[in-house]
Amino acid sequence: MAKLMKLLKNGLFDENPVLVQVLGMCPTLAVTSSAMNGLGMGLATTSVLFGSNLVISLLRKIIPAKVRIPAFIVIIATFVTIVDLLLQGYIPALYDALGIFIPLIVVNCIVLGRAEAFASKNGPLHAIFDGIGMGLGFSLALTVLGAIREFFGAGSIFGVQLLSTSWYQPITIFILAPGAFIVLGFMFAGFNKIKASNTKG
Amino acid sequence: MKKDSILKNALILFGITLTAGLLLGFTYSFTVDAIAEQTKIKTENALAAVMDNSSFTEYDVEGDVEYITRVYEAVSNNSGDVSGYAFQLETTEGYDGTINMMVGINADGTINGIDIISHTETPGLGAQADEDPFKSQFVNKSASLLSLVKGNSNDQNIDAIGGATITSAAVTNAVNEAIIYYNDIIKEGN
Amino acid sequence: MEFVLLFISAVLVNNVVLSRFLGICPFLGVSKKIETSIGMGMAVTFVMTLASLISHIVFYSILKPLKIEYLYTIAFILVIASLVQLVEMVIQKTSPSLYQALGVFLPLITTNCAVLGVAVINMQKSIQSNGDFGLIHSVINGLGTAVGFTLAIVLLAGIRERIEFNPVPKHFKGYPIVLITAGLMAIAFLGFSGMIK
Repeated sequence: MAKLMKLLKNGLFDENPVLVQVLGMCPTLAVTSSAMNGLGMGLATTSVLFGSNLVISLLRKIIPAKVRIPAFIVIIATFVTIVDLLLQGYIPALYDALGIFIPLIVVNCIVLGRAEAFASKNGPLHAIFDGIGMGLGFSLALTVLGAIREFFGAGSIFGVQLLSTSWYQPITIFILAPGAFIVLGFMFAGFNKIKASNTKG
Repeated sequence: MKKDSILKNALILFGITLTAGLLLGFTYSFTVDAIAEQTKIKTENALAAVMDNSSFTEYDVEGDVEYITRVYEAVSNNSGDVSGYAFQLETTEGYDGTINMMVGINADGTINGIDIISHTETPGLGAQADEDPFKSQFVNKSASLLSLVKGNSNDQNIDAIGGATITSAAVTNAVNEAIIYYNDIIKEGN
Repeated sequence: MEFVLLFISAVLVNNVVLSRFLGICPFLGVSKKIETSIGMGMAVTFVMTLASLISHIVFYSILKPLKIEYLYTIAFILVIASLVQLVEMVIQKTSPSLYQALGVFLPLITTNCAVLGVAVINMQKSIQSNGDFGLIHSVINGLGTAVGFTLAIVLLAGIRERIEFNPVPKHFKGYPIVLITAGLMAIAFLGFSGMIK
């Protein structure tokens, strides 16, 4: 049990896929123009991670090493398509917001990375927790980035208007492409600082 | 020995792909109705937004059009008379991608309103095209060609959104196409 | 003429990295040196152009007739993965020196979201335009996108080589300063938007 919890904590902090491993950059920058979009993408990816890690772990003794990458890709792409269809049918607002980045989950290095590094070498229960942990870590990073960009770029978080537009002139650049790069750069710097002071103290 | 393992590898890969295909086919058949429903809901919401209290019949699009994708005749739920017409357009003149929109023109030759169904314009700038005051400018204008200007929205003028000229132009041009269609094809022939 | 505009639009106006956010992982990871960036750019250009061609054909001659368009994700990624394998084998046989130079970057192109991304974008544009956006358009879009990617990554490498020995604040060393640099580049490229209408 403790080991499973450790897996979650690992994905959330110690080996956070975005802030520590620097993986999954494309969606991190692209869909974080609002906190809700960031969270939505994070949860969609977590669902794929859950499915792909589970199935790959269950099939790990059957999949031959030589064809493992194509096999992983087919399994991951299957879950991505399932998530794609479900969102299209039941959560159209999120489907429209995430757009092309839903099918792109299949090339999100986090998913393929966990399949190769963990799911193919561990049992299903551990694989599930690793997948969820990484997915939640991803979601956390995206939601925070989304919240920062939304706050400065539109004065709201999760659609709740915090800074009234009557006096606050939204700094639109935050919601545009450059804003994503720059805010993430500062987030990395901040995270570096936290890591440095943790190891010192 | 080597031949065996290549065959074995190929078979396993094929087996996984086959299972994946079956699973997806199943998911697709499960969701295809829900997906079609979502598209239907979007269109119905847009129609209701541009022509109040009416039922709609779709007609074939006639003639040479650029962005008009669908034409509807609206019949008032109260009186049973034709209340006007709705036009769905997909313009590629937007700043970023396609703008999918609906325009409602009353039978008396005035614009009832417009609604943006979907777009990928810049949030805070072009995205204001789907909000008042830009949207409400079109209401009650007569169905003759509109001009995009800066500073006033009298008569047939549409005041462009500050910092979003391209988006404003795309929407205005699309509405103009609907207006031309209304005047040439509907008023003349029907 | 429209092809020229399409090409320029893909390279500058909707630059795949700086405004569409595709291909960020190699963009950040490979841009340390100009030389490797050029190599990566060339490999990506080759794969992306071919992938645009083949995925268009696959979509219209296999997926659409069989009414399994919703399987486009799987189909396209398999095309790309196979293409990369093929390109790797061909380069290994024909030019071992080039293979050495590109080496580890080739397999990484499979996970380059720009390649899958452009295939999906081509498909969407083609569906929306009812076939006006055809095979040639898709290939030119793919080529232009790849050139845009190469441009962005080489530019960033140029800047990174320059600032390598500059005094950067401690916590900004590494990814933070690279991201901020990319952000400034993105602002510059914003200037191209609206250029082609």
